[in-house]
Amino acid sequence: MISITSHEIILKKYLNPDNNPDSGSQLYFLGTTRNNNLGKQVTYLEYETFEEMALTKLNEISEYAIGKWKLNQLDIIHRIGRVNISEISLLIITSSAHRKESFAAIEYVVDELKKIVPIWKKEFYLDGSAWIGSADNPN
Amino acid sequence: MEYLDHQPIQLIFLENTMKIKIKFFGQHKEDLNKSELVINSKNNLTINDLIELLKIKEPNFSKFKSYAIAVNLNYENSDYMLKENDEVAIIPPVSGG
Repeated sequence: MISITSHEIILKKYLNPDNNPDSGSQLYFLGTTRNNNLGKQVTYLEYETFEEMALTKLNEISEYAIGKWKLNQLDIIHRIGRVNISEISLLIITSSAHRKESFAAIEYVVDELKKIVPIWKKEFYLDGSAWIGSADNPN
Repeated sequence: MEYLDHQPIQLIFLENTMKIKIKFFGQHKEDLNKSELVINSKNNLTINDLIELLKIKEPNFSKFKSYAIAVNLNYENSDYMLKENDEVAIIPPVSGG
């Protein structure tokens, strides 16, 4: 399942180990909001996306990963809008026969997501804000 | 008998122009204060040409140094030849996760 949502991601809604009897490994990766970056105190994040393209790219990443690592399950859920400290911005779930495939797939999905999926993060501080990843941004 | 004045008829030839929609995101959207722009341009326009056109139409665009270009949801190179009704997205460095 691929999803971009403006709602809070509640982990326990997705925990379902009984769902994959043919898997010996299930991994859950959580990207969460950190309260600091580059020495500045972060108060919250806001994510923006080009949703149609982001979903297209996430589906491409997912299809490749499922085929390469023979995954029984791959879910990618990304939150957009305001995300408070310690809340989940990204949830990736993989299931596979053995652990190595799930670990490799998660690393690949996160790396590709951070390279090609049009989602942007803006950090908010006590005294301002900055878009992250932008070379045009002096911060 | 009364004669009506002939009004000049203005003919606009559009056959050699095309419409391109451009979308902006993140820092670009904020700095340009717009999320979208539609331009009519000549045919045979590459992405490179479009960027030069944007720098003229939106002077603030010149200060952006790092971005990728997507056309109809796919990343394309600067020599990509644009077509009528293409949707171009200017993609600032992504930072999801």
